[in-house]
Amino acid sequence: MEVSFAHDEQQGVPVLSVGGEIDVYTAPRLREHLLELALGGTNRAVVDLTDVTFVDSTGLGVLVSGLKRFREAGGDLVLVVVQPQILKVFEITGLSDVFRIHSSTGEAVAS
Amino acid sequence: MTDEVELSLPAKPELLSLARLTVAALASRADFDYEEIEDLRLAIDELCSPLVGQTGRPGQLRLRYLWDRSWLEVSCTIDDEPTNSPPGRSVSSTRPEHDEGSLGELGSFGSLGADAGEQELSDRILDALVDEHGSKTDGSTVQVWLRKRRPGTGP
Repeated sequence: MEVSFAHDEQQGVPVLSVGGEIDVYTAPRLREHLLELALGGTNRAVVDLTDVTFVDSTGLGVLVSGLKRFREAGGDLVLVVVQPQILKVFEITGLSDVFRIHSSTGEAVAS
Repeated sequence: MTDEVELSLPAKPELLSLARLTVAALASRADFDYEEIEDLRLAIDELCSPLVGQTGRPGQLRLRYLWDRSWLEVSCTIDDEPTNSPPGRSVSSTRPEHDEGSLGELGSFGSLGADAGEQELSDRILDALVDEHGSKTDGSTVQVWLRKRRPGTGP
């Protein structure tokens, strides 16, 4: 049920891997890690949600805030989403038209 | 005949997972498929999170899960503590305040519109995942609810 985070880098692009459930309780930790990404000196990063099993509107709001920060810096925050129920949440909220979403970290890094 | 489960838990965000677990367990026994069970887990979270907020609040969150041959219904009630919040907006005032701003600044935002925020995301999710949902405030008591038709039962 808890949330997990791991920072990595692929082809010079920071990758934040998230696992578990992102809800009103765990979303602040996601915000902290996204802020860490933004302050890391790059304006482009990937958030890998492959192992996320649950995300609610609070989690989506944090991701949107992160996206805004990166785009205001002239860059982007790209997502990796694999689980159908997670992708569904982005689709029904229209956020699949806002974020660039890929099905693998390799694709996201190369995009 | 209607069956009923009651769950009472402190209004703390770290305990909302119990509400999700309970609806998933009941939905699986009511013959909802995997996708519908996941829908209900998210819907119950969207329903109850505003009552609890990011930091929790005093009192108990009381959930009632009812189901009969046609419907699964969940209601969630909290006795709202007197605060300085404007009357009638105590539920929405528990939304965590952070730099969400206007999503419209991202440019085209599809059907959600230029000023969609977290509450609109939540409403959009509930509209898509359940058949009916609503809220009412009676004095200091706030109640929210949702209903989802069971599989194999027509409209």
